[in-house]
Amino acid sequence: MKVDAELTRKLAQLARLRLTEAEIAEFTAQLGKIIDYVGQLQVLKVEGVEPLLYPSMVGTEDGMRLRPDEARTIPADAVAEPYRVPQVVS
Amino acid sequence: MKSIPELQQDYLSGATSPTRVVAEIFPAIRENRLNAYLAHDEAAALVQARSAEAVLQAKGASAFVDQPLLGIPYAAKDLFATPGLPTTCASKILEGYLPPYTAAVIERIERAGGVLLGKLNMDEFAMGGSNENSAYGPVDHPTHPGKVPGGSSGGSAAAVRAGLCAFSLGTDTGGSIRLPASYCGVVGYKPTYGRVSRYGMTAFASSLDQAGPLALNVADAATVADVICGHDPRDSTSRTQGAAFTAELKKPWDWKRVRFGVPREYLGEGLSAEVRAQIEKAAQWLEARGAQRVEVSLPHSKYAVAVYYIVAVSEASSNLSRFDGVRFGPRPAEALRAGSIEEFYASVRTQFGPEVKRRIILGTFSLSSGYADQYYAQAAKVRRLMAQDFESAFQEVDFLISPVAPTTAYARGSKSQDPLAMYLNDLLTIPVNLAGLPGVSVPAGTGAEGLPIGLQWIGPALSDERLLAAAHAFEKGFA
Repeated sequence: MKVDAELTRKLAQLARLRLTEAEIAEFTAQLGKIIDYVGQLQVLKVEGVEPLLYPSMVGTEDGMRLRPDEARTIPADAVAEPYRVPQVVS
Repeated sequence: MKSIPELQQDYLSGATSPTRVVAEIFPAIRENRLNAYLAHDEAAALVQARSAEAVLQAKGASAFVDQPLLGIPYAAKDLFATPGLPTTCASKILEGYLPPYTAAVIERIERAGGVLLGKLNMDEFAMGGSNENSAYGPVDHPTHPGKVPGGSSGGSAAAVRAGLCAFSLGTDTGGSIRLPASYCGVVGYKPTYGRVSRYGMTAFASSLDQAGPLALNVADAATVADVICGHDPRDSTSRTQGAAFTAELKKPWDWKRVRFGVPREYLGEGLSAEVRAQIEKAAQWLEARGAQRVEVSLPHSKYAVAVYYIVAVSEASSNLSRFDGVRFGPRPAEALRAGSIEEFYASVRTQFGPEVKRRIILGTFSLSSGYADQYYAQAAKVRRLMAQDFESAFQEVDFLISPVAPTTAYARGSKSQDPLAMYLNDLLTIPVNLAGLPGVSVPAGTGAEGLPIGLQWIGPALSDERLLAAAHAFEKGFA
């Protein structure tokens, strides 16, 4: 698994993280070691094994939207559909 | 700081009062020698304390039946949404942030009469094992200056040990309650996944995170557990079990009816001699009291850190994508000049610390197209195998005991240069989160320099009450 600066840059871009050149160098080295380490799982035989994603899933994933009555400290119309926020890009 | 029943006794006898206790703790909280607190509010705490006094005045001892934490001062790790106090997750990206709602556990403790003193320091977004990753400075060890208190709930453990609150709330994703509890010499309990609502608790890894109490003894942790455990429809992973912790502790305990095991893989070479000796001493103590020791193996243990550092970071990279400056959190001046939404996001997200960025990038890698099957899906299957290891072991034993960490608390700065070395420190606690099981760290002696050593107790899913009863019986007798 080739972990180089180009991969780190691509991942940073996907994650919307802006890294300095120093960070790219540092993270590339660290990522390489970590990815090598976690890569040891790949040799394990896991055919027929169901992935375990959650130890318990009791309810259903309803939209966990902040309700106006829950949001004490912001005005109700800011929590209406859609959320009202200060301008982001001018 | 006295225990919960001692405080309650003193309140009833008039020896002290909730407002007196609050006023007496606050100078040390403000001095903040350990840097355990990130925020505190004495005026708000006094209001709660006065209200507790009014109830005590009116009802006397019967008040504690409905409100088992009435007048008891506590503090919460800074990732629980609290009214009036910021929730920063020890990050710059949430500096000064006031959530518009309250976490379920905080609501429950409030209803039970608890007095919230403030918010506690932690590793940023719960990512770390030493409380050296906080954007607001590290936490010092409560009895051994210069050592780490453990993490990520370092402030939570240090504050309890230093008497800066009667109990605290922490969270545990890969050991973050149990490890600092072990290093600081307090009790730290991580419930079965789903027993405590995660509503209002900033998510790090949603399939692993669980809130739990840190306290001076198991009985106090059990009192808090009775209050915080229980179903919450606002958390889709919340289980329907009620809580019966204090009731379980009242039942007579008989070690002769207990089978226990020390997983052979947990006594491997990385363990320090003094920790190994203490665990063996504990095992022998149990056998001397009639408990039956059974050989057990958890064969996939050695993959724990690899599985965790794929699964947890993947979930974290997804969870932390919400921190984009649009709906909440500070917007740096530079972000306000951004020419595009991508530049805006990137600018806001420079406010993450290095460990957080590292884990986001690692998680992005394991979920990205071309790698997701090889890494994330594979890890999730190995996770299933690890959970099955525990299920098999629990056919043979009632509980597992083990060390919490390979060593006692180490010097600040000594491990922070090598992320992977730091990650390997969690190998004894991580499997419990991967399988969703309950785990508790109980003080079990000390090593060199008097540094605390914790004994980890692990039980089958939903055996929490019995697990704490075992830990309580051990704590009372083991010297």
